[in-house]
Amino acid sequence: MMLLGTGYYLAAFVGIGFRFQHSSIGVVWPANALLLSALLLSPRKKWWMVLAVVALSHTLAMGDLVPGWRVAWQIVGNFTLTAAMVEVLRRCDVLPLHFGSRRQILVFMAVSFLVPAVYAFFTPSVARTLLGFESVSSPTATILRVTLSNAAGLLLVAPAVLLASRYDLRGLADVSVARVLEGTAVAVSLLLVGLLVFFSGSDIAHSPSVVIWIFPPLLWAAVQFGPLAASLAILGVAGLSMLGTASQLGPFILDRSAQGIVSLQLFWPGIWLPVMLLAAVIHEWELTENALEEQRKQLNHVSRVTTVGELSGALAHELRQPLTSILANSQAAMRLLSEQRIDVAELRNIMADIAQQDRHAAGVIARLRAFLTKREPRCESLSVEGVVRDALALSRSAIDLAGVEVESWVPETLPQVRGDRIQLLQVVLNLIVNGCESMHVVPDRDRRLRVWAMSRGEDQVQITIADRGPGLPAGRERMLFEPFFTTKDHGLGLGLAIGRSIIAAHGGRLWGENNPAGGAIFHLTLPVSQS
Amino acid sequence: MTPLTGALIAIVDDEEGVRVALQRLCHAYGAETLGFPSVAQLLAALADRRPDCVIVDAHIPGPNGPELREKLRARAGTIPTIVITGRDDDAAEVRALAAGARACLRKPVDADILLDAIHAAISADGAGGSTTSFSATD
Repeated sequence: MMLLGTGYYLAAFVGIGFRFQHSSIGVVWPANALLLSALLLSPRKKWWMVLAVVALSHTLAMGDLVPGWRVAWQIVGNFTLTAAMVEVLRRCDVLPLHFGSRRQILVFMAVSFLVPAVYAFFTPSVARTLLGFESVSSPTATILRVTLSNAAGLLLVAPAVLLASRYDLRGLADVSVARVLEGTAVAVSLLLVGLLVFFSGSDIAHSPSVVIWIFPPLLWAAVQFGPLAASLAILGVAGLSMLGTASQLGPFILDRSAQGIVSLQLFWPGIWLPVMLLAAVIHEWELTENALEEQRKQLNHVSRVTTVGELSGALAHELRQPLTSILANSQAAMRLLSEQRIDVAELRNIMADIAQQDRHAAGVIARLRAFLTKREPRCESLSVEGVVRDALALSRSAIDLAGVEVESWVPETLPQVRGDRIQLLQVVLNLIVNGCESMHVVPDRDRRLRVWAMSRGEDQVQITIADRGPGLPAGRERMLFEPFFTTKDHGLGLGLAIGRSIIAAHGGRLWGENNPAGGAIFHLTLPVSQS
Repeated sequence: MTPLTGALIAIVDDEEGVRVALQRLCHAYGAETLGFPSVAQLLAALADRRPDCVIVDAHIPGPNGPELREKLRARAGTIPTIVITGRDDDAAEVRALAAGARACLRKPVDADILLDAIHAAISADGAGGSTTSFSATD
């Protein structure tokens, strides 16, 4: 509230200090933007406090300049104007304002012009011109000025205040040095261009195209730093243009009449709309990207769960082996103990086997858990050999139960690749399981799967998985990688589509072909880790 | 629990941990045991000694699995055979083998159930017929 009081007083001061000649209407009236922000940020029950603080500040700022009845009128008028805006914005369903969507930008701009335009009819100045007390300007011009000065104040100040008040300062701790440097570069370039454009001598007014140069740094701020930075940058530019014009410098003083001022007032919304729209569009795009990324992650997880579902029979088998061993060992030991035949060496062997089998079962579960856990992808330097080994370990029972013999040849000396271990494991495991499943139609002795890896040039490693199944469906090799295309009678048909997107995200390639010697071959390449 | 004193039991499982544990269990109940990692080795050993009962894992890996399965099935008529399986689904291979066996048990198999099955198999030896039952632990 203290902040609001001081801010409002200063804003009123700016509004008063920079006025149309021969008129009591400010070029820009930022105080109402602060009032609007305060109303938007505080619950309705506390509006009376806002009103009290604003009334006090307004009286302090204006008391000496205009008669008391006009001060009271202005306070009531400003409060009515901003409260009406809040209501209109609420009905347009744009609250809370975050200026991160095109709709919010367009609605806020429209409301900032239309509501003050209606309000203008009820201001003391307009009333006075209508009644003929102020003969300097026509009623139409006065309405226009009131509207524009309010609209300019609202557009320039409200977004900056609202967005800054929501900004989480804790985020500043994580800002990288590069980002700070870039932010500084934007600010400096804005200042330099601003000084050049708005503080040059009157000659600049003869080449109005120079004003366009204010756009690059503004767009830079909008594109790289979002709506808050865009609104602050616009506020900065508006401040510079105002100071320049007040010092009789820059492009807006060509003719020193009210027309020049109106062109300044029209200049602000002219830069506000494209810059804020751009920031909003980029913000929307980022949100869409994030949502897509989230969905991609979900889909990856679904695919892993599906793979494990397909392996569940084999995994149950893999766990039953140690369980069988543990049960038989412990029952044998109990029998030995009950018979009083204490063979310490034999009991020790039994206990050691139980412990070992238990660890084996725990290993199966740990691998499974690691594979299924939902987590953020982590890019690290890793060995292809490890990925293939893990994939073969996870699919061990499935391979065994399918009666498939695996030959794998993955030298440990291959260069490391960069990637997410679980995602790469997912792709390789999927290819191995697919290969095994494809061979259920061929005679047992032909069920052979070969997995090998090799360097491809200096900067790539290639993993190849070849089966001896019926091969890829002729003419539909490309369709294999389409989502929901499947040749199996179960499964989602997502494995290869997701595999391809994962490998592509790693900067590599995944493709399949028919082996002239029979069966299908899948290749995937991954870039070598540079570190 | 009646002991298996004097009986010779052959156990076939490619998982050493399982094979050794089942041998220990039978041994603890007084049986003599032979362990084989593969059906091929069992069949080769049959020439020397004829076990009273064979306990065999239903899954016979390797390219000549089906062939061995057929040979084993042929022998199951003369040697009482108990099939154990670690699979959830009753795959064709399990059914094929179980058809000629005295019992089909699911892993992990409890000592009571296994010993009962062995007893039944040995005592019914020569009586023919087969009983297929799955362990109650499922």
